[in-house]
Amino acid sequence: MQLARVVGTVVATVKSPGLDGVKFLVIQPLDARRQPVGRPLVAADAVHMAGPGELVYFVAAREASQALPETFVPVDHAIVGIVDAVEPVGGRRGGRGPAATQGDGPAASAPRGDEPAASAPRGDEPAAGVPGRDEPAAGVADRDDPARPPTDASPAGPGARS
Amino acid sequence: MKIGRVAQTVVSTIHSPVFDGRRLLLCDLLEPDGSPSGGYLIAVDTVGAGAGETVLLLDEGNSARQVIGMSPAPVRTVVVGVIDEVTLGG
Repeated sequence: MQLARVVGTVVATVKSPGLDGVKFLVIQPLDARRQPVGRPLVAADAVHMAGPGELVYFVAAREASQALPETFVPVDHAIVGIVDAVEPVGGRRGGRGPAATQGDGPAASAPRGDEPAASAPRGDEPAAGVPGRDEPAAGVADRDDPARPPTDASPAGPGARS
Repeated sequence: MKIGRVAQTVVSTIHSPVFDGRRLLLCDLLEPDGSPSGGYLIAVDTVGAGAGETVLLLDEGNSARQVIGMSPAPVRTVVVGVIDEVTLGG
């Protein structure tokens, strides 16, 4: 997998069977220092929530199609996650559990979209509210826990974007 | 397989379900002599590798899914070992 920045959207009405409902985005692959490398390419959005300007990671080759509900489809790049932060690795070998980066919150096990933390901090980010976002952050938070203000989860968000 | 060095970790809340509870490591790729080759890969950690460690990277889908124990899954790159030493020509 590699990092990329979403730089555009692709709309295709006529598509190969199995690609109905799949959103395509133009992404610019980035190097480890978040500088553009290579040419932009078109990737399927497997997380359904990526939008222009966001930092994402994508998987290439045949594994890309396995990110989609229909796995035997002609897709060779797929966005499989939206990056909150790229940060130093904490601890030495064995000093940090597999879920350490997010295991303290319910986000590790809860389905995405149902967890306020998944969307509330993102409301502070410049990319929030871009066209094409499927779920407004406020709607997600309200549905899950109306009593919890979005600011509760905000410490996880600031500084996340480089 | 490839040789890499753990550089950073990628934190992500919104992702494909296969990454739930897993740790993503951004690994710089190395030449066998230990010099950086310039590239990098984001890999799923399966061994608990730490910062700066030299690791063995598996970059093939079928094997990766086998290690992860989930199929289908959009995973191709997995950290499968921590390298103690590489000897060339010896």
